[in-house]
Amino acid sequence: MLLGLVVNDYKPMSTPLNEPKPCPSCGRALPAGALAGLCPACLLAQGAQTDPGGPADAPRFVPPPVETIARLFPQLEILGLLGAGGMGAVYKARQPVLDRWVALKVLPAGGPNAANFAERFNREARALARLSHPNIVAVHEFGQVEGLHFFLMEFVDGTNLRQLEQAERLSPRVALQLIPQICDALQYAHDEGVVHRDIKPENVLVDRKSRVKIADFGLAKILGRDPEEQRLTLDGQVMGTPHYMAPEQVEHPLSVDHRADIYSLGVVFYEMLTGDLPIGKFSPPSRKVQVDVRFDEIVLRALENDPARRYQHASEVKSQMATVTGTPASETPRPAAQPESEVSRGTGWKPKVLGLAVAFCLFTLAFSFLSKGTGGLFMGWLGVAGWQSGVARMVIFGLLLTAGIRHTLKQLWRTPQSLAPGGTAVLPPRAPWWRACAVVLTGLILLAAFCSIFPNRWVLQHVGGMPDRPLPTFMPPVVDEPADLRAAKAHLAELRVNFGEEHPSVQQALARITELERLTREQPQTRADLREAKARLAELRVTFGEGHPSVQAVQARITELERLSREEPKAPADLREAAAHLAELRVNFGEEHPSVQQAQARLTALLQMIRREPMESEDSPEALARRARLVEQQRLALSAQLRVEKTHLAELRVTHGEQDPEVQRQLVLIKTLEDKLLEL
Amino acid sequence: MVLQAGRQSSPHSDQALAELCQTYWYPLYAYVRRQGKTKEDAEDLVQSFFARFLERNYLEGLAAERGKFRAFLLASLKNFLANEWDRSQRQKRGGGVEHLSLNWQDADDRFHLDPPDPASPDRTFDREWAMALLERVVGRLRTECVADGKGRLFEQARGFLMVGQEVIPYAQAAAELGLDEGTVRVAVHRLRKRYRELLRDEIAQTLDDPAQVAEELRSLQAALAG
Repeated sequence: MLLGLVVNDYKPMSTPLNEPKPCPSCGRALPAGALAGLCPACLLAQGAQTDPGGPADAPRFVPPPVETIARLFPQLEILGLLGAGGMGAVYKARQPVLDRWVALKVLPAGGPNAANFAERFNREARALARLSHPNIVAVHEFGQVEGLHFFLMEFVDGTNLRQLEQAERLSPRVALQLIPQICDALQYAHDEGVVHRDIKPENVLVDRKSRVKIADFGLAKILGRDPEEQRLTLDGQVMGTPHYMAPEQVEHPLSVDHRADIYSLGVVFYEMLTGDLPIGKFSPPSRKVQVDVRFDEIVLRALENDPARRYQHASEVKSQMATVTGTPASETPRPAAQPESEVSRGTGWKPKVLGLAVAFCLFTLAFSFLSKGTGGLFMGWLGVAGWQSGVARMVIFGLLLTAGIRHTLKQLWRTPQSLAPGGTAVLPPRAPWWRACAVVLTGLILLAAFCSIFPNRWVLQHVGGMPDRPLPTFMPPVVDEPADLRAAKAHLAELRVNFGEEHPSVQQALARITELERLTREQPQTRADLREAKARLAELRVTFGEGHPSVQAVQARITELERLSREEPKAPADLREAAAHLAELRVNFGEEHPSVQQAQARLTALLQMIRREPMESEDSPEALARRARLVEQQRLALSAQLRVEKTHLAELRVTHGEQDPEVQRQLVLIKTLEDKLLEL
Repeated sequence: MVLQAGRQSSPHSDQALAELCQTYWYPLYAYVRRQGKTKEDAEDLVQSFFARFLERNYLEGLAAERGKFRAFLLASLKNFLANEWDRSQRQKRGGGVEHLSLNWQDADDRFHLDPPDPASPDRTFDREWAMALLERVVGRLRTECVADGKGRLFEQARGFLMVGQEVIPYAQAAAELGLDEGTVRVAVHRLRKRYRELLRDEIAQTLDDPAQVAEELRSLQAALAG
């Protein structure tokens, strides 16, 4: 009668706003508004409840206490409750007669269709008892005691896969060890006409010898419930959505066949490999963990939504896995099978590119040395403009090469990544070897052309006549290099081509170039002075401000130096001659010979002369006047500073006394300033 | 989730956010009224709060509230009340800001009709939030049923959503609907299941991390129980 009451009250109310009625369930006043007639608290409570809500709903299963079980099964020693859930309760027990451990599973019986239950139980349990396989938990006995249906089963000393997964992250190796055993068990059961219907990590037991034992075969069918709803009811908690169920188990529960188990197997496999469930749009395992990409195909095929597209037999999964583990990854010519079973994704292409680059460099070098003309060209091209330029070119060359190869490989890599799960990548067919060669050659020629044009556009015009043309034509001009050094280098290259590296004239030319380069380096003496002066200027500006005489003095010196640096001559002809002569002598007589010493001395003298020259030629009246002005300015600046410092000294003396270190320092400073003034 | 989409402003996410606000504005109004403001003041406040809320990308600060839109919205409102109201007074009204079409008259009626509640404004807010949520869920469920041509069934069976499975009088309902009892059982079962799904979905919309649904459900239950 309560039921009728409830229904009458829940009919939509026409005037809910006027008289708030109490909720028939909880007695609270019903609210107004869109929820008219519904009690929010009860509504939410029902929504929060995760009751199976199925038409064949049974009250929640409460595992009978151990004492009750012990009373019901006098032939067993009940040791305790191993676990309980929606699917029943399992007790650990001993059969003293046979001296063996057993697991006693007690099923939640009853429910509205309890009548069918007994019959179904007997039918299915017989089928289960027939199953005898090392990877299936054996059923020793089944029956009914005081309305309680039970199975007496093999006791598995170990843990289940869920506990394993929770305890530690399973390595793919473990997964690859366990999955084939599951396949064996499933294949055997399917051959016997038994479908598990609820493969999940909780039902996959693993004993101490890492042997898989699958439990609860066919139980889902006996209980006549969706595993989904079972999962929702365990202890009234949400255990998660039915991720292990095949889609057809949800949509057409009546037409489920053994392929549903293969789907669940796929989910378990995926979870073991990646630690995640394949929900929604999931990525293949090899993109999450280091595992052979060929397993992707196996997992994804097992997870096909359409049973017809899945593996049709569990044994196929096993044999496919055996194929993968039996052959090295690189030998399979499939598109997805990039050889990277052990290499992590991020670094997989790097060793390859590096290897290719190194191989190419070696090849180029070997080729250069083999053909004399090309060798000369290449070395001249690399070495002619100094080693820095050579290195720069090699780096550019290498970078271009690496970028090219990397791009190509990345393309390969991305194609499978952008695929929808289950899709296949179509790779272009392998080109014949001559086409690959042609492409590589064209690329090399283009690259070489680019590298040559890049530093010097006109080079290519002269490439026509190859080895016997004089090399100087190929030499790019280097802006900072003095003309004579350039000429010497050109000469050297010519000599090298004509006479080979070991010829004395080549050695001679080399020595000359070294000398010239040293000279070039030594020239910018004035520039160093200039830099120093500029730094000093900045310092003074900060300390004294723009208008201070000392700033102005330094400014004047900088102007002077700038003029000097502009006027500094390139090494005059006789200097060059002297250097060349020196180099020649060195080669012919060795470093210690007197004539070399002499030539060295002459060169030094010449250099000194050149440096002093511009100063001495400053005899014009303007220059003299300027210098006088400069000196005068400096003197003024110094004396001004001296006055300031002396005043400060006096103050210090008064405040700190004669012996104070501050005063001593000030005295030293004043002394230095006075010295400078005297110099001027 | 809407909130995640809301992080980067796009026409779609803006619309989703506006929809979210449409659903949950009444709890804010109730909160403001419970604070002791008059009807007009509360209207102004909520309206300008939403204007502010929608124009600024408030959702960026969501992480600070542990990913709950409910807590976040309330915190934002409190912040707004503390800062904004004193300064702007009523000048905000109609200041070129597009109004959400919120049904103020209904709100006022409903506020008066709601059982007088001595609870604190915060609890009022949570309670109203839960109600708004349920209204939306039931509304969605009804829309779905009507779209499937099961409008009549829904009206008949909506009361079953709030009672336990065991007390549902299937036979009677079947007789009233002129259907087979088994059919009604299945239909009611599906309806209840769908209701739970929608409820979780709707809650998940207001959460950064959908895994928090159970927790949020518990706090909403607590709010309604209080």
